[in-house]
Amino acid sequence: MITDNKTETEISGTSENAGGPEVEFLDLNTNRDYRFQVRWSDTLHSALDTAYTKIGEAPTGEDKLLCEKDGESLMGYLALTFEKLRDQHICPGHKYKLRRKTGGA
Amino acid sequence: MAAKGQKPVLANPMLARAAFEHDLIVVLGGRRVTWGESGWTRLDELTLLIPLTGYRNQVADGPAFLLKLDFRHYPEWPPGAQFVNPTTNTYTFPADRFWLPRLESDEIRTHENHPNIGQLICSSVTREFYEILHDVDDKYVWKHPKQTFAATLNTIEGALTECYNGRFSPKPS
Repeated sequence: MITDNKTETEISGTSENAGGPEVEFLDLNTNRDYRFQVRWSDTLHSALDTAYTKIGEAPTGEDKLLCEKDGESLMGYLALTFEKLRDQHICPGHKYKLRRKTGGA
Repeated sequence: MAAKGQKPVLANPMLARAAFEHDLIVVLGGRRVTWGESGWTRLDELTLLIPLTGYRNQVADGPAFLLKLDFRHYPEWPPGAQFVNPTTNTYTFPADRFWLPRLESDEIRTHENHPNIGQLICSSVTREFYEILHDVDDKYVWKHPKQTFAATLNTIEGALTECYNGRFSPKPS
């Protein structure tokens, strides 16, 4: 599991009620996890940008961010801060799936 | 390396197996399951069988399908992907049409008997897509390790929820 050179214990020990939650992005191209800490004032979009940096890929404009738990699209919530996401109970586990478009059909 | 307009070539079996087994660990980890919990089976060193369910309006349509992934050209090319009859682990047209889901979207489409290849899961993350020299935008051409067989599996599994339109035949032969 990719944890930005930190152990899960190190991350979870500072999560939630401190500066902000730990978030987790699952890259559906590889099933690799990218976990890191964000601030409550950060937006989902900024966290997504961080995830792209860690993955080493650029956004395409065709990608979709989904909630890992129920698969719901989160593309309409990218501008919200984690504080707002929490208050509105949007994907409360902070676990996300990043899906890239494929060619075909 | 996979490229538009070229047919897949067989990989060195040892390299294919090493890449498959490396990626298998990551893929299972991302699905939060162990091999024992996965329900997957290996037909041989380079063939994986994965049960998958189709959903219409969030209702499961049983019995489950069985996806066979063939890693003989991996990782330079995506795995071969076929839905198979779970009794024989093969697909014969037209007898096994019941075991083939109808997937229809702008990203993926299943064909029951495509000329020269038979069953086709038409998507840039399957080997057969390149076997038929399907036109493809450069940005969608398979690129390992940025893509692994996770992309193949997740694309097909996602389609079974989002664009599943039943089976090619209502009853098994």
